[in-house]
Amino acid sequence: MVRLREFSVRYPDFLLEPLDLEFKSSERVAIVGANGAGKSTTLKAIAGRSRHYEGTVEIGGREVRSCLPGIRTEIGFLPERLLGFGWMSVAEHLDFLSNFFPTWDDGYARTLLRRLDLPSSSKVGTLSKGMAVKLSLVAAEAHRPPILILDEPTSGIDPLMRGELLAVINDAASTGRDRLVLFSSHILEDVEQIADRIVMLRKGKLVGDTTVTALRSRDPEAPLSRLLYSALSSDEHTSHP
Amino acid sequence: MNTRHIRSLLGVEFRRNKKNLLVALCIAVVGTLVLQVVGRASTGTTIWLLFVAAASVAMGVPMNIIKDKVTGQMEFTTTLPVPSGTLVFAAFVSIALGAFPLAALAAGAINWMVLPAVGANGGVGWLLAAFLTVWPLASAAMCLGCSALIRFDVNKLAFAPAAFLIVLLVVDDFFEQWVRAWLPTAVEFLANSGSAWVLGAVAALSVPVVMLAVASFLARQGFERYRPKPAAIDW
Repeated sequence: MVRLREFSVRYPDFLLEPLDLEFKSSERVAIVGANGAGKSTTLKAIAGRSRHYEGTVEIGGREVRSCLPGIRTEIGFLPERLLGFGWMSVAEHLDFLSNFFPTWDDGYARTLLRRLDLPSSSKVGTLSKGMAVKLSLVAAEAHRPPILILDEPTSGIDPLMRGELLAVINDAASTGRDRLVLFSSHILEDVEQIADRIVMLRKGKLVGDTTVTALRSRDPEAPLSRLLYSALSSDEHTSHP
Repeated sequence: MNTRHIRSLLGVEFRRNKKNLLVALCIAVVGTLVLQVVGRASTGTTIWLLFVAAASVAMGVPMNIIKDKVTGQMEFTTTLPVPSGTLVFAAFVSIALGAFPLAALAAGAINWMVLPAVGANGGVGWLLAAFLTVWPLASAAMCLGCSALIRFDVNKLAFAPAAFLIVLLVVDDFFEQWVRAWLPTAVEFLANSGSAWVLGAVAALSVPVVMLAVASFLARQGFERYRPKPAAIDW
């Protein structure tokens, strides 16, 4: 469904080395790594939010850059920081967005707002970090996109809110068997809860691509977060068994 | 172009400029009242006041563009699933609507102040002609300015208003003399020749068309290439 071929990004102070990856629909993939590993850069390119890369990013066989901006209607994207007009209320923000996504489901958006306990009258610019992430999640999910991309959805959020968000993300990932969920995180416990496949990046380099099952089989007694940590910090490349 | 997208984008611009409209209305009403009370009300001061009010409406969209670029929020509109042409169209229509009061005032000033000053009698035809010349020209010039704001780094354009003011100060006298010398001839020429109107209309139309074409090209590029700076202010 999503294929990266020789995908690389070069900034003056950062280099993401060429990546060749393929993600199938129905997969839940976590892209993990420390800050500056290249997670957001990769996700932004897949989400059609960046044209500045070498190689190709294909969705359903089509290069993303050649299908912009229309292809964005097929992707739900939760960015690192909430995008929107601060003077709009939550309801107005979602109403504005609904005009641009043909498959937008108002009822579903309202359900998600209720479930995440997000007041629709609050001004977007006054939302706390956690509330802003919740709104971004509703905006990304309300049009039921076949590809859901979440960039650091739980970073900097209190444990209670994190739990609520993870529950919604898990449910969203479960609806529709052909749905691809890609998310980045450096909170390894989140990965344990959502992902079935893990892509590991370190300083712009792919250092691992494995399934949760394969990683668990290394030491069934150990928590996944510890296995992940050792895989990330090891010099060996971790791949599918 | 999808009319629903354009309606939504125009709706946002209208709502963002509502405060500007109210401020302009307050300037016009309160200012006129104050001038009346202090006994300083004259045609000149009233027109000046109305110009300030109309200019504050016209500046709404450019100010929003600067704000969006500085705060990094332009990323919101540029990542919507709409072609950059739609964003440009909505922005330019907003600019043209914002420039409407300013153009109407300028046309009135030309008809009732400038033309009599050069010995010509204004009228409805002249008023309309002045408006149809000034509105597209002012709108196109503002679109061009805004497209530069969209395409280029705002910090690098900070010198532009200062440079414009310096140029204005330097060429002010020269410009006034030139207009005084040229305008009566042009008015007489237009008044006495039927084909001159066609020529004038073509000239008046072609300049804004060229300006709009350049503005559209720059703004599209600007929207497509926009990348928020990491240092963009977060609200």
